[in-house]
Formats: sequence, structure tokens, C-alpha cells
Amino acid sequence: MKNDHMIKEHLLAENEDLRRRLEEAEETLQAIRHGEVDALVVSGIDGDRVFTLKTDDYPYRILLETMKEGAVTLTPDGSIMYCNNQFAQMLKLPHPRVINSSIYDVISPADKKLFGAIFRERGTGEVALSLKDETHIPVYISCNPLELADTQFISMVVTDLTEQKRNEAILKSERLSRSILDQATEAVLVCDENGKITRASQMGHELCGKNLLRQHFDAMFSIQESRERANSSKFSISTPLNGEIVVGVPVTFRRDDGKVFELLLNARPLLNQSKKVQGCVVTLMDITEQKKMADALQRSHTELEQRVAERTNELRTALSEIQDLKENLEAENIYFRQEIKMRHKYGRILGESDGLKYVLYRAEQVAATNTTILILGETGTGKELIAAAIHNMSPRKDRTMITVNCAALPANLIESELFGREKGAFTGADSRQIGRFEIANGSTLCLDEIGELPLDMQSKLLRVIQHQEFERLGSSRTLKVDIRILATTNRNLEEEVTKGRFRQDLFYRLNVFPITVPPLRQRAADIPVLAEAFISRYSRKLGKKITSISKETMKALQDYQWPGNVRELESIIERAVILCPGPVLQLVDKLKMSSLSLESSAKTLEATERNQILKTLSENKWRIEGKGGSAEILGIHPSTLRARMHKLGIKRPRTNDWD
Amino acid sequence: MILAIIRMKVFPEKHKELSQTIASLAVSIRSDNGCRRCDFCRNVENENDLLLLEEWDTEENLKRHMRSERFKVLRGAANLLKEPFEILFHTVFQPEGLEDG
Repeated sequence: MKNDHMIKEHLLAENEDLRRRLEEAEETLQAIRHGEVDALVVSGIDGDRVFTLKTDDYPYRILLETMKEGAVTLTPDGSIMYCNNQFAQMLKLPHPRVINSSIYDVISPADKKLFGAIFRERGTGEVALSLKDETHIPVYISCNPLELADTQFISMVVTDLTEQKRNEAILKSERLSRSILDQATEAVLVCDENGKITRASQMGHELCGKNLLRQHFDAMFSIQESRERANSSKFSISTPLNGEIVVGVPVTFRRDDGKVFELLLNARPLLNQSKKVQGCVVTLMDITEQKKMADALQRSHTELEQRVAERTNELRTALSEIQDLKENLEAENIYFRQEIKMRHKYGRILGESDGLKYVLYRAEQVAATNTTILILGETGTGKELIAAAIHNMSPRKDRTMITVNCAALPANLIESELFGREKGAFTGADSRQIGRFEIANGSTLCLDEIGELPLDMQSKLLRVIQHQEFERLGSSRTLKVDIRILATTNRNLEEEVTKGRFRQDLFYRLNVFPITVPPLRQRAADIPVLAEAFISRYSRKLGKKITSISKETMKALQDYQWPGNVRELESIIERAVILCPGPVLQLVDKLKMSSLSLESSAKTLEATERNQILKTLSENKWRIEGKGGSAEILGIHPSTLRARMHKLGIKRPRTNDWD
Repeated sequence: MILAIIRMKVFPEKHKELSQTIASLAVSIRSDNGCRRCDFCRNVENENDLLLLEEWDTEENLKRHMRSERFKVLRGAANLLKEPFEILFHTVFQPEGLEDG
């Protein structure tokens, strides 16, 4: 316990001694610095050494302490013997701590090798000092040999390059930014808060053609906002200086020499830290060439669009034509199939009779022309076959002849059938339809049973025949066609005209070249050849072998008056073939009309027709349609028969009338 | 010389058709061998009474004509007539001394 107390007291005494010595050393140092000490005695192993502090070299020491560079005296092994206060400040160390330390401790590790070389060669160079806070100071060192009291030392002057390096960096940065600015394709102009140009890129000078510095922006650049913008006005530097940002505004600049530039203007205010405008930066991009190109491009684009529009129109027209042709083709196909069917049915015109020769002579006479032909003759005489023959002998034979049965079409559909209709022309017209006049363009149109055409349609037909033009239902567009008209009828049209049932003007138009097809009874010579042709056709069709027809049967056929003409003959032969059990044809129908005298043929067609229809109807219990019906026996379409009955005033009697 | 008179009473409504046909046939007939005259005539009192007047040099040529297709065509027009054709043949002679009178 006593020992501990003694140790403590001893330590306290040592501590007190050290503090006192430190205070003395500090006072001494201050005294030396202030020039109050003339000499200093330093005791060492080699004995006391006296350093004179205030002698003739005193001004030099003052010089050393007041110079901006660091001054260091080093031993050959790099130990710092002496340094001025500036050097210690460079190292941010107290002066005493620097003395006796190694110079290598404060050299940046990366530069130690370089420093060693400079130091050995007593040369000069740039190295970095490494501080305790791990920062580096670039310095320039200059080493010189120094001989003091026969001892070799090295004196080293250390110049702090920090400021210089910073200035160099700033300069370099400035050069770089200047270079960048000058290389910029835009004119970059920096203005102060008064609008005076403080900096300008090379392009800025070139654009204006003048030295811009210290000039007011608005005086140098008379910039008009582009005419393309609404409310075009002059641009003033006051805009960005008022804090407004201008982005990508197309402007026009007219230089003093008259050259006009199209520019894209950007302007931004420059704000200081307190957000106050202290100037602005204006960039002007020359887009004259781009504008020219854009204008050229726009013109090309407009031209292209125009061309595209034209092509589109052409395409649309072509498409419409294709559509029309397609529809025509489809429509023609339907008729073509019907035509084929008809050709197969009739094969060719058969007969050698004078009556047939007359008809064919007439047909040949007129076939090659475009003359309208009216083919007359009783029902079933083959008027449509003569029409087909005329068409096939005409220059229009390469196109299909279109036939319209005027009696078979419902009155309300005739018009759209003949002239076509547009979609929505009337209720139920849910698609466009090409009329037969249109389909027959360039070909022949056969108006079968023209006598059955309603009066209102007759006037429309007259116009087409006269002018070869018409409109589709629901369309105001007039269509022009090239059509050869053939019309057929079993009526006495002159009589119909007299009775007011047929337009006289239409009759005159149709009756340009009449051809009357003789009834079969006046072609008796043709009956055998026709009968044989029909027997052959139906035998083949029904798979029967009928090789002959008796003389009696043939005579009966030739004696019969054939009110239904060739169609009736065909119908009778067909039935006979169906029911014929052997190779010799036997008739199943009773040819009762043989009693009809020649005198009766001299009656009006209407009277003959009326008698025949009445007779056939009464024999068939007034059955019109179906197999063996009156229409089939008469060889006409049921609707045609009904139309005839209506026209001739034939009405079915009450049941008990004929029972 | 032989004169052939073909008389036709045509239905009024067929007048045009028959006239067109015969007018056309007459042109052809005139160019036939032995045909001296072929005139298509109309009765001024009744326009539907028509005559075809043919003069032939020999009976042989007349017969050839009557076998021809043209004549068959003519006969085939019977359908247009109210009554059948009436065909008359006359042999023409020339009385002597008539020219001087």
C-alpha cells in the first residue's frame, strides 16, 4: 500500500516535470521564432552544439520562414533536419513532429521511386505529398546539395502545385467546353441578365456574320417566328430573361446580307442559387436544309398521296368493273346453262318444208345486221329456236343470247329483271342485281312473248330500243348498252295496238323486220323427220328401243292440226315413248282435233287459241300445272297459260257446271 | 316466152313481211338464167292483192326456177296469205304486123 502510494507520487512528479519542460520548450520556440534568442545550445551524445540564431544570416532565416514554398534540409538518408513552417503547414502537421521524421513518410507511395531518383540526383520534379488524412498535394521539388560543417546535406524547396493544378484543370475544362461549343452545329449564345451576349459558339458568329460578344442579342438577331405558326411574332431575348423556357420554336432569321435562315430556337434562363435569373442560353439550329428537304418531302408526299388517290380511284373503278363483269359472267353463266339445255333439247332446226325454208331465208337475210326482228307465230312453233338461229348467224354469236320470257316474269319484278336494281332500290332488294339488258350488252336480247309485257313497261322498253340506254332501279346513272333486240310473240300485235293493249310506237319499233314462223300443220312435210328425231331422243333418254312407227300413226300425226305445234308433237311423242311396250311406236293420245278444218286456221289467232285452251282445260278437268296438266299438253308454261286465260277471259266454271 | 303470174292475197298484218320477202326474192330471180322480167306489183284498188309477174324465155328455165330454193321460199310464205297462191302460166305470142300498126 505504501509502495503504491510512492509509485503514484513518483509518476505525478514525472508528469509535472514533463509538463514544465514542454512549457519551457514552447516558450523557447516562441522566443526563437520571434527573434528573441541569439543562440541555441543543443546537448547531444557528441557534446553540446551551439547554434547561432541571431547573427548576420538572420534576414535569410526570416526569408525562409516567410517564403511561400516549403524549405527542407535533409540528411542523405532522407531524415528531415530542418524545415520551415510553410512545409509543416503543407503537411498539416505541427512543426516539431516534422523534424527528425523521414521525408519518405510524407511522399505518396506511388511517387516514392520517382522521389528517390530526384533526391539521389539532386534534381527536380513533380511528386505528390501524402498527408495523414490520406489526401495528396501535388508539389514541385528542387533538391540541391548543401554542405554544413563539413557534413553533406540536401536542401529541398517544395512548391505547392495545388492551385496551379486546379487552374490548369479549369483551363483544360474551359478549353474543352470552348471546343465543344465551337464544334456544336447549333449556334449557342449565352447572354447576361441585360441580354448582352457574353459567349457565342463559332456557329453563332458565322450565322450572324458579326462579332457578337458584348452586343445585345435583339440587336444582332432579328428573329421572326415562323409564318406557319398562328400569331407569328418577333422573338425577343426578354422572353427567357423573364424566366420563360422556349423549346423547339421554328423561326426565320434574315441576315444583313439578305440570306434567310430557317432556325429551330431553344432558350432557357440561367438561374443562380437563389433561383434568380442571371442570364440565358439561346440555341439556334439551322434547319434551312432540313426545311427544304421537308418541303420537298411534303411535296413528294402530297404528289404520292395524289397518285395513290388516283390509283385507288382507278383500282376502285377497276374493282367495280371486275365486280360488274363478275356479276355479268355469273348471270351469263346461268343463261348459258339454260341455253345449253335448250340446245340439247332442240339440237338443231329440223325440216325441209317450204315453210321452214321461208323462215330460214328471212333469218339469213337479216341475221348479219343489227336490225330489230319481230318473230311471230303460234305457240310452240319454235320462235325462240329461230331467234337462237338468227343470233348464231350474227356477228354477236360469240356471246350468249339472253332471253327474257315476258309472260313468265311477275309484273312487279319485270322492271328489275330487265333493267337491274341497286341495293335498297325497294323493300326486299337486299343486293344489287344486274338486269338482263346489262347482261346482254354486246349480245342479243330475246324478248320472248313480248305481247304479254305490261303497258307501263312497254314505254320503258321503247326508250331502251330507241336510245340503247337505261338506268338501274334505284340509280340515276344512265347505262349505255349495245344490244340487238329480238322479240317473239304469238299475238297479233296490230290487233293488240287497235285494242289499246300494245303501244303503237313500240310495235313500229319492233316490227322493222317481221318473220312469221308457220304452224306445224303448214309444215306437214316436216312431221316425219320431227317425229323420228323426238322418238330417237326420248328412246335414248328412257333406255328404250323403238325402231319404227306405223304408216297409220304417221298419217294421223300428219293429219292432225297441231294447235300446240312442235311442242305438242314432242309432248305426245314423249308420252308415247314412255308408254310404248314394244319396238313400234303407238300413240296414247287421241288426236281429236283432226276435224278442225282448214277454214278454222283462217280464224283469228285469238279465237283459235281460245278454243284450244278451253278444250284442253275441259279435257283435263281444269288442271293447269303438273304432269299431264293443260299447260304441259299445250306445251306452254303454267304462268303463260294463266296469263292467256286472263287475257282471253277464260274462267273456270263452277264445279256443277261441268259435272 | 312464158308469163307466170303469181297472185297473192295477203293478211293485212303480213303485208310488210311478204313485200320485204318478195322484193328481195325478185332481185335474185331477175338474175336467174332465162328470166326476162320479174315485177312485184300491187293492186291499186286493194293493197293486199299482190302480183308477181315473171317472164321466162323457155319452159325449161321456168321449170328450173320453180324447182329452185327461191321458189320454195316463195311458196313457204303461204302462211302469210289469206288464200293459197294462185299461179297462172301464159304463153306469149306476138301477132304479126302489130309493130307497124
